Amino acid sequence: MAHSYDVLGLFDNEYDDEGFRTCSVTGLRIHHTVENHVKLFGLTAVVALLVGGIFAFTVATTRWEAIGLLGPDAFYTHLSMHAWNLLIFWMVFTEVAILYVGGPMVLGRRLPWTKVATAGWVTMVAGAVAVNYTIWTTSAPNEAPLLTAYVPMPVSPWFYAAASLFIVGTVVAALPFFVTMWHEKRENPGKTLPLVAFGAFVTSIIAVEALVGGLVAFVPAMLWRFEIIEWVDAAWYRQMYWIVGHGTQQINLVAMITVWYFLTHVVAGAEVVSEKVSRTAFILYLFFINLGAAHHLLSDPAVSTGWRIWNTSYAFYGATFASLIHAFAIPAGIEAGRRKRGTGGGLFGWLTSAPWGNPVFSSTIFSIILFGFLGGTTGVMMGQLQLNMTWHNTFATVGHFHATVVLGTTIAFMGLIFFLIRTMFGRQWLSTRLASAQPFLYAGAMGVAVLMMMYVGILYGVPRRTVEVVETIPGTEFSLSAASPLFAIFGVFALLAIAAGVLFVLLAVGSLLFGKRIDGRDGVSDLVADGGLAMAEDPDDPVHAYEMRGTFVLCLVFLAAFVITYLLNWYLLTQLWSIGA
Amino acid sequence: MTPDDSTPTDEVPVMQRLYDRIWLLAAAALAFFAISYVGWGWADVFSVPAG
Repeated sequence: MAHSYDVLGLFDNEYDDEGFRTCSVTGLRIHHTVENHVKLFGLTAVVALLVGGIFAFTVATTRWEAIGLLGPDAFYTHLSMHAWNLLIFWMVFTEVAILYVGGPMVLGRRLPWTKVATAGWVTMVAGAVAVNYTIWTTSAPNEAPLLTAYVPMPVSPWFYAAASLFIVGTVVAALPFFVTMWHEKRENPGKTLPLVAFGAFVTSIIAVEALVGGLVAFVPAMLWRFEIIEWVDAAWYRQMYWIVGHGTQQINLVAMITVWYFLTHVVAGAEVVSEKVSRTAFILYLFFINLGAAHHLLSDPAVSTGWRIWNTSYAFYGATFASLIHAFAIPAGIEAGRRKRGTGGGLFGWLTSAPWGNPVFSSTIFSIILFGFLGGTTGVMMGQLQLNMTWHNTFATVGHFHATVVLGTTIAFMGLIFFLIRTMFGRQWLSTRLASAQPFLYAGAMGVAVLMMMYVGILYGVPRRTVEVVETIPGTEFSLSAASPLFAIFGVFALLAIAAGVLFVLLAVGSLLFGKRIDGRDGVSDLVADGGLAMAEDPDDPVHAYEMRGTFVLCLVFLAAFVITYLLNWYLLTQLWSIGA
Repeated sequence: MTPDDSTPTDEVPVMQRLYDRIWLLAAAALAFFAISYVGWGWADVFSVPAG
């Protein structure tokens, strides 16, 4: 029975007398309180994606100076809107939905404190709208905050208030997840959490660090801008700011990997080859990944060299090691799982026979590959004190975080939303053919655009956050006009990627509004791995009995690419200055 | 003594018991972050003479 507010019929699944239903794809027992809140947060995330995507167009066509759409004043406003809506709102709304999936949904529980969850959503929406308003109405002497609203830059105090409100809303929205985990552990003290729930819990603790860090930074900045306190130490602010500035992206990463485990299992039949190893990798993230925030301060004067090297190199390599573990464990799980199902002949038959036409699968795999090769490797480069000099504040940095957040997280979350449209909203995709093509278009175009961002930054030193470089600097010894051809490639592929993003939003919204309603299991049979998910639970047919040599070869390819990229970056570093020449 | 006497098959391994203590892991991770990133960083930042 649908609620009277549900005029579009988006919240009208059938539940039993206790409020549960059984998902015909995953087999999970889902309570309506969980499902409705997952939908609510997921839909809001897509709205944020749409808003941020509109500003992706204006930002890209400005940095592609052949078009040069905006002047400096408008550009910083548009860039701020782009960053806050995509790096923060699209991601965080989705991540709260993932917490509810990874917690109460996977554990087969109802969502506790539903009014708190709804209040969290209302507060987050209010904060997001207010952030957008304060950015859009920025006027002198204030400046648009970008994502890095560094003190003492004059930013509207209401911006800091709005950002703090959004953070508080996120904490409130996360409370029902923590209550769920508390009840689960109290009622089943000796029971091990499923891996997806464990990953969601690790995500939530990393989120707590990031969000508290955000409040510690933004609230004093707000008080300073309201002139309630006289000053805020700029170096201290930067150190605190990056806890949330970088931490939010680490939430993305861990949530994304949790999604990888979940979706590869459901649609491709992947199994967890070693629970111990995968859990250990999550725990390495838990302890080490947020320390990577220090890599933004590698060129800052106030913090000691020891602090910088310890946090970004020695300690952070714990998180790098964890990523390498996942990079092996997930493909290995797919390979062994598919071989077990009889769909894995030869070295790579398990991969070529996979359901590439299913956008849930292709999105997940593109996310794994592109995050690993482009986002992860460059993150390790930037985290090293010496190599950071060639990346810091160049357009290559923008390439790095687009490789992690767009090629990695956004593509994974797009796959998740394709999945939710079918399994939770009960709607067929508006066009299966377009849905199948969308991940290829988006990943391909965005991959080239990201590579160009890295090239113009690394090879020419093109700065980030600026409106023009090619047009304004020529004629001086700092001429960057040689970067023009790469900027042209960037511009064309950025527009193609935006078109693929528009296609995603059209497919998502169109499917919800006009998609054929799914009745019964037949309508979702293509989402279930060959042989069904129960095959993974057969104790007489352990997954580690199957070979994983294809994954081993892929890992060697990845290692070779990593080494070559590393050496190439060191070579470029040696070319910076000709000392004594 | 047979192996079965000293290592009952239903005993949960130490590491698994540790990994199951999620709140302890969370507290330890928060404390580590507070020391490694925040505390040490503050010590560095505030050791710079003001003015």
